[in-house]
Amino acid sequence: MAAANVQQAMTGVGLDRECAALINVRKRYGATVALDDLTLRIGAGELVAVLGPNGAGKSTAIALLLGLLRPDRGEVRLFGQPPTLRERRRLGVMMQEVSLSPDLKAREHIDLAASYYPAPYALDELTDLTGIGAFCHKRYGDLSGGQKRQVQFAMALCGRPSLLFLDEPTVGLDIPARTRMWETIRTLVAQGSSVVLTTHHLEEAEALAHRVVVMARGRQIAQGSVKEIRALVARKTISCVTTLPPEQLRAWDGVQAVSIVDGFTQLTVSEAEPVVRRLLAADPHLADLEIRRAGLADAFVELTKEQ
Amino acid sequence: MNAVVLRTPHASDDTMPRRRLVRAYAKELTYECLRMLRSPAFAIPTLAFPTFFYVLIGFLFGAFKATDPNAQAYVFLGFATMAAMTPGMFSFGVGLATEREQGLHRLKRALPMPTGAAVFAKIALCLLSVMAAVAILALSGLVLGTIQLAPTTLLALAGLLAIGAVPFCALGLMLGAFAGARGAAPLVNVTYMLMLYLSGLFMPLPEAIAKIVVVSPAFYLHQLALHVAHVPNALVGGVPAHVGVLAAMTVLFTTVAVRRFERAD
Repeated sequence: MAAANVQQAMTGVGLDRECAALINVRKRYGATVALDDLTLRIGAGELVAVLGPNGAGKSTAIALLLGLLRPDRGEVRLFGQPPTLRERRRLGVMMQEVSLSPDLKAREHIDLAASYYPAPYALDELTDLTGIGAFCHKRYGDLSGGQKRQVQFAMALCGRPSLLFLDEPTVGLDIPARTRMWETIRTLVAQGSSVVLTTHHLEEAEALAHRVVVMARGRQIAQGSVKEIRALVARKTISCVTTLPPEQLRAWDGVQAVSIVDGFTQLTVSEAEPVVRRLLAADPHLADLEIRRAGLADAFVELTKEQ
Repeated sequence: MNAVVLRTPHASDDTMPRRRLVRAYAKELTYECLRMLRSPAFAIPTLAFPTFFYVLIGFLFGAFKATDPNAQAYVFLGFATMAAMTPGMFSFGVGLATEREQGLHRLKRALPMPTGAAVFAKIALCLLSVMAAVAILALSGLVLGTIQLAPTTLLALAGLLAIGAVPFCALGLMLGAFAGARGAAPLVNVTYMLMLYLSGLFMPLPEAIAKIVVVSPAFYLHQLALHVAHVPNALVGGVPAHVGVLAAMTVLFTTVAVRRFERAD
């Protein structure tokens, strides 16, 4: 994918009221350039999913926005100011790989986090909002992995944040809990909060994000709505059961790749219809025909593999 | 899915009333105390070990039979110094290093925790623990009749030893900064045990190695405790020198630890 095409997907999203921004930011660790002239703006009331392979610079970008790191060059703004404790009082944060004390109860962890904010939710409001009422009186060490994530989510929400940073929020959650968390996130966004979501779980970005930013090697390589990002990858996948050998199919016009997965022949094509016509003509016994357009995951793989 | 109605969608103001700021520090301390009380691995050594070993050694090694009240006070004050060393070294050395590696420190920085609240809570907990441990120790001494110290002297000692815990917080911080979460426990334990012996807390050291005490903060705190209890024993220097050395050690340990942490970040 040429960079110029990628840029075409960039659209004017609701950035009239910016709540956080990295402007031409550069950050290096020793000889490694973590962020290279990155500009990232988060608008008020916007849910932005930041995607990228490991090492793309997502965590560094978030740490800069939170004021945990300082940029070597460029500007960081949080509600129009350099990030300090005062600006952080309008943030909520959910991080990955945080171990909270197993000896405190879930509600005690939330109570402590809530004490850092000027006007936090009361515990019962928060349990209604996040659905953790059933286990918030248990010791944190006795909770399951998914329940711990839900408690951390409640801690992120407790101060009524204007901007919420969520790093892989639903890892380890069962489907009802995940659905519930997504619903809460949508409620918050509907009421005007902004959310920055980093996830490897592209279904999550697809379900929630107004805008997707794809990063690789410390740069932004694409941004746009989920639909726009998907459209950057014009390919489709044809799946069928056929006796036609892959070598023969690879030689056909318009066929980019052929593989066999679980007995299904899968063809990656730019235009599906001519290939489907030819397949049906060549194999009268062809069965289980299915055509899929590229999902966000396909687009992501395609966008990042060339970087 | 239940519809959830939020009365205020998000904070419109980022100013923190003073009352809430004070409350945040108080909550940090409350939960630090709760964590300790619920964690026997920290609470038992901190609160009970000085008394346990005082009684054990007093009976087994005949320290309680000494006829010189100064000798009895010397041993008692040795264990009181031990009580002052324990919470700081373990809470800051092992506890803080573990919390850093578990990402808690980073999360609290990202959350708007008031500046220094975590350190305040840890130091305050250490001071409270030292006072509690010294109270238990003093009570055992009074019950056993092995100390003859006035209540005011005991109070003064509790105050001295609580403040005297601070250099050990700094020492723990430095050890934790270098050893990391995994290495901190053995390093702090070894340092602690060596310091208990090599500071001459329970008996004067053999002459050949007697001078080694001057490198140990525990020695200076013990000397100050002896001074408060009017037990003549100063080997080196007087009160101002002992206070000065402890203050200098606190600054040195803290500076080294902070540098090390900054580099790690």
